[in-house]
Amino acid sequence: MCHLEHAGISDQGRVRYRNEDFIAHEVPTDSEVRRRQGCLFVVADGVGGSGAGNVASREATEALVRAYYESRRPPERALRDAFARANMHVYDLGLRGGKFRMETTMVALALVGDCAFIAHVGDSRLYRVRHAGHAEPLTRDHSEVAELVRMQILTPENARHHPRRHIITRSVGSDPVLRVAQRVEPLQAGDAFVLCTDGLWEPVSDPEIASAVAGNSAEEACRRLTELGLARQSNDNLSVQVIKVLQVNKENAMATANNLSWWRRLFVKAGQRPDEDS
Amino acid sequence: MEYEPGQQIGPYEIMDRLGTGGMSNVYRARDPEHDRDVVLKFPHEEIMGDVATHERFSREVKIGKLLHHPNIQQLYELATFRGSEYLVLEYVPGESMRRFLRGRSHAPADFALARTMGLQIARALGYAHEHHVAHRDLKPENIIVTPDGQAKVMDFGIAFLKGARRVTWGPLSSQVGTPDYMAPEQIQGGRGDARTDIYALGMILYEQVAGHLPYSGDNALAVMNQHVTAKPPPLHQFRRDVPPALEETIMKAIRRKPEDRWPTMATLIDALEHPESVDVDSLRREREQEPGDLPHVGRLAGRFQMPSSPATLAVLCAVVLLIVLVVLASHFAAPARH
Repeated sequence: MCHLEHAGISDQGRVRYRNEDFIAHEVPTDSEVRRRQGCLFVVADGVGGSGAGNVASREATEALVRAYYESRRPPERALRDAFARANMHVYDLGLRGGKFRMETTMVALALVGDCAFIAHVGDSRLYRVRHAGHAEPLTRDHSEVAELVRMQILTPENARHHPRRHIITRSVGSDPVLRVAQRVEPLQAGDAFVLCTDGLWEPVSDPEIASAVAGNSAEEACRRLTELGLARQSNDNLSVQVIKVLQVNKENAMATANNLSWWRRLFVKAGQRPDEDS
Repeated sequence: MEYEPGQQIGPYEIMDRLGTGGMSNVYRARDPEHDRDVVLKFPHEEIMGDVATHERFSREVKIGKLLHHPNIQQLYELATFRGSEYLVLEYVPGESMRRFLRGRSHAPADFALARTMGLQIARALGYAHEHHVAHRDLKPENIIVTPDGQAKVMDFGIAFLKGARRVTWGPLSSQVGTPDYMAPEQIQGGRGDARTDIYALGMILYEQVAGHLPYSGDNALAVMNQHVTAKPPPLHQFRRDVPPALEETIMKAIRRKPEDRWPTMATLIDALEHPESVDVDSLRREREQEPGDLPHVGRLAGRFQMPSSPATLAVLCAVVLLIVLVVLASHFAAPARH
């Protein structure tokens, strides 16, 4: 169990008819559940204006939270299974809905003991602010431009204006087989996590995210980031969750460690980050 | 916002819906005042809501209204209905060039037709370039072929609106356009200029002559990678009877570097109009001198490459052999101790 401070804002922006983003968090009151499954934070961004993006993001997020806490498996596996459940749920809804496609991006952060379990699909991001002034992205976008940057065809600066920048290569609900990117990170007291949709990270640079988070409460950080994002780009929905880790309870460290597979433990202990696509 | 047939939009009466694109809803409507059919295009609100995008859109529309050319779909005006802006455009009967080409895909390529169609499109673009407007999103889907064989280019200058809506790859997704006609500099994030249009037109002509595009792949990334790194196979590989002048004219239009292409649309038009003036030999030499496929800039480049020199290979083999020997030795040595 760790001590947290968290806040979240999901803003429609000034132009869109509806908010297709959805954010959720679950901080269990039951200490046993909290010890085993920890706290879960989710941000989702529904895809496709003519489809039902708002329904997709809400349904996926709710299915994910439900499935995660129903699971009796270790957090990492539980998170992956929950993504699969959410995906099938949204995929089925999409098939039933006829012409409306149902798709959403989703990034989830589970804080259990002294570990952060991260899973994501699409181009919603998770940043960690550990050292002042530096927001470190812990997710890699599943988008065409991110792939072009990785292939060294495109520079990150040019990616911001690329005509194909809004094409994502994976989403929850688009395909019955979902590939989720997952990783595990050791937690430290003082860590801050920022989950956000492209409505925030597109207009706001990484250093700006870091400086908004540093020295402010989670609530204040969310407010500042939202203001900054909307002032620069008001035509998209914008969602952000900020989680500050106040204290990591070392007593439960073993509980977490036991939840990890042996080779995972090797990585986490060595301070390395396995970034796995499964 | 969606409108029904019969609904009155300003002075226009909606007749039917022509389609919903990634950036706008499109209707055919009746303009009783001028006794003609028009096309009404309603850009999606979330796109127009962005201040910078809207400014750029208004600017492009202003320029678009100045373009009068028989091979360009005429933009009549920018009007407002209940607070949302829409474009009023010339209604052009016919089919998209994509369908036109598909309908003829079984017949052998008609070089004369490729040339006349290419010329019409090139003249339209050349005219626009003189007015400092580049299309930047030229592809067969954006060209209408009228029943009497006239090509009309649509969607001038508003290609930038396309990036504003998110779509996903996937089995159910049809909204992801192909990057088949994108010039390398655009794929690399450049804004694109007249030479970008020359590249796209070159690709369209290549497709028309060869029956397919020079690059293909499983997904858009593979195609884009090839646009940036690969050298297109010359047309005579697919059509032995292609006139050399036409081949070299097209191949020069789709060179990777913008500065290697035809410098202006006027020079390309000249080459299409007067094939006898094209210096086939020097163009071919120039093309063949271009380095072949650039090294693959994939994810694995420079990381997991097979050792290439014989020396490294020999060392590797020796190490493997040594390990095998050690394992075997320990295996057979162990029981002997008992």
